[in-house]
Amino acid sequence: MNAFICTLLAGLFSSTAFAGAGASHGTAEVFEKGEWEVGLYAPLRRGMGKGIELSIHPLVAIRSPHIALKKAWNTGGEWRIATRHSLMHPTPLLRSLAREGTGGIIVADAVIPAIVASDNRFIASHDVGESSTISVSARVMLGVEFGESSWPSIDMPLSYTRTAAYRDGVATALGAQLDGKVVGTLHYRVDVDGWVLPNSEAQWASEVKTTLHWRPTDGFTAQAGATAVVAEYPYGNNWHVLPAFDLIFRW
Amino acid sequence: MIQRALWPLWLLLLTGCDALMFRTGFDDVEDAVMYTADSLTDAPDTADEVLVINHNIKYGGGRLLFFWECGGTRYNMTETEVKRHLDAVIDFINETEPDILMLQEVDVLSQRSAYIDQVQYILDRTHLNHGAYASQHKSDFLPSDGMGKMDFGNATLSRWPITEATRYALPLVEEYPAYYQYFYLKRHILDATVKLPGHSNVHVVNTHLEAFSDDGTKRKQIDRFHAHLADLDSEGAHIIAGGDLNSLPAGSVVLKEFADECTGESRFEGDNYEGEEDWLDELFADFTSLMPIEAYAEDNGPWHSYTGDTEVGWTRTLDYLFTNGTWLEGEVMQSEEQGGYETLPLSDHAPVRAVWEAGQ
Repeated sequence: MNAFICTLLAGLFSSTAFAGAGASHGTAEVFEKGEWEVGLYAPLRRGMGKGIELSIHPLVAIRSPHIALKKAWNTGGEWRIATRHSLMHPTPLLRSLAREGTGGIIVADAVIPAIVASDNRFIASHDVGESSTISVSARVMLGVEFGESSWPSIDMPLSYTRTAAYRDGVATALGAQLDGKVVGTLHYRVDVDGWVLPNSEAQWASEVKTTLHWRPTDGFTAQAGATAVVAEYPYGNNWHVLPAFDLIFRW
Repeated sequence: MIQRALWPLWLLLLTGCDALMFRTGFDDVEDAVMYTADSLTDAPDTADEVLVINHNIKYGGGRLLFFWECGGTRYNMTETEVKRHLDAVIDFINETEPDILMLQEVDVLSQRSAYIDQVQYILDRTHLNHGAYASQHKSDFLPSDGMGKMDFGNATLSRWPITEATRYALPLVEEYPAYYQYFYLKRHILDATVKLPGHSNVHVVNTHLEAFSDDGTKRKQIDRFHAHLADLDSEGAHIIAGGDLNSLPAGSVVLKEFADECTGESRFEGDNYEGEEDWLDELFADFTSLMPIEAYAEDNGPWHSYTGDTEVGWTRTLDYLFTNGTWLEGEVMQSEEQGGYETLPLSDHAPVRAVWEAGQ
C-alpha cells in the first residue's frame, strides 16, 4: 500500500538523522574500544580502540556502499580534536531513485555515472561549564564522476547539499553544535551548519537542527526535534522545517 | 494491517506539516497571483469587440512526447527546448493579437520546464500587459516520476488591467487514496475581472477540468463551473468563460477508441467518454457557446481541438468558449486552412478563437 509514504518519510527522517543522531555525533568524542551504538536511522558505530571509531549505516550501505572512520587526536589541550573521513559509492542508490512512478526522486531517463565521494570533517570540542559542550566543525565533501553523466539536481532540503559533491565535485560546510543538559535525563542539542557549494547552481544553505534527547539509561536515547533549512535552490530561495526523530541504542 | 492502521497518522503528519514541507494545499477561495509585463504596451481605448483566445499550451512542451504519453520517453526539458516552444507560442500570440488570452497548463516554477516562469515570459514578449495565475498542481517536491518542484496551472492574460482575480477550488478526485490526492492535481476556476474600457463588471473565467476520474468528479466540476457562471450572470456580470473541460459535447460521433489512441505501451487507458454525453448540456443551454451545438452535431471535425498524435490530426473537442453575451465569430484554429495558423506544432491542444461583443 503505502510504501510510497513510508519511503518518503523514512527518507526524510533518515536524512535528518544522518545530520545529528548519536550521542557523540558532531563532537570530538570517540567511542571506547568495544562500544557499540545504532539507531533506527542513525548509523551503526563501534569503538575500535586507539581513538578510532568506525561507522556504517547497514540499510543504506546495501544501496550506497560506504564506511566512515573517526579518529581522535591527542592534543593535551582544552580542546579535544577529531577528524572523520568517509568514503562512499552512491551510484546504486541514486540509480534506484531514478525511476517511474511514485517514489521516483530522479527522472527515469537520468544517466547516473559511477561516483566515488568522500566526506571529511574536522571537529573540535570544548566543555562549557559542568554539563555543556560546544563543538565546531569544518567539512569538505569531494566527489568524482566516471563516465557519461546527465542527471538533475535533487532540489529539496538536505538532499541538495548532500548530493552536490556527487554532481559538482565539491561541497563545504562550517558548523557549530551545542550539547547540554536540560534537567535530569533530558538533554538538548542545537546544531547549526552553513553550507557553501562553490561549483553548484545554488550555492548556499543553512541548517539549524534542534533536538531534545531523553536518556533514561546509558544504553538508550530517544531523540525528537526539527531541522529548519533555509537555502538557495536552482529555482530560488526557500525554507522548510523537517521533523527529526530517532531511537538510539548503545551497549 | 499495521501499515493500513497508520494511514491516518501519515496523512495527519503530511497535511499538518504541509506549510512547512511540501506545500501542496490551497484554500477553497484565495487570491490569484497577479503579473504585469516588464514594459507595458498601449492598449486600445475602446473595446466594443474583444478578441478572445483559449489555449492549453502543455507547459511549453510543444510536441515532445513525455513519459505519460503514448510512446513518450521525455521527462525534464532543457531551458533551450522550453524557450523554443514558448517562442513558437509567442509568435502565434503576436500574429493573432488577442485582447484576452486564457491559458491552461502553464508552468511558473517547475523543474520539468527549467524553472521558467512562463506567464512572465509570455507577458514580456507580447502586447499583453497583465496576467492572473492560479496553480492547479503545486508541490515543493513531488516524489513521483522525478518531477521535483512543480507549479503549474491556468493563466488569464489581458491587454487591459486585471483589477481582481480569485482562485476557486473545485472538488478533488475522491477515488484516489488520501496520500495520492495530497500530491495530485487540484483543479480550480480562475475568475479574473478585467477593466475593459467603457465596460464594467467583465469577468473572464478560466478552468481546466479533471481528465482522469471514474467517480463522477469531472461531473461535479462541470456543475460547479456552471454554477459559478450562473452566479456571475445573476449578479449582472458580463462573462467570457472558457477552458479545457476534458469533456465531449452532445452530438459527438466518437466517444472512445479515437484515431490517436495509443496502440503501444501507455500509462493510461484509452479515453472513453461513454455515459458523459449530456454532462455539458446545461452549460450549452444556459450560456452561449462559440460552437453551436447543432453545427457540431452536423460535423464534429471543425471543432476538434485535441490530438495526441500529429500524424492523425485533431480528434476530439475538449476546449470551449462560453458567454452570457454574444460571440460575433470564431473557430478552433486547427490549421492554415481553418484559423490561418498552423497550430499542430504548438501543443496537443488547438487554440479556440472568438470575437466577443462587449456588453454594456
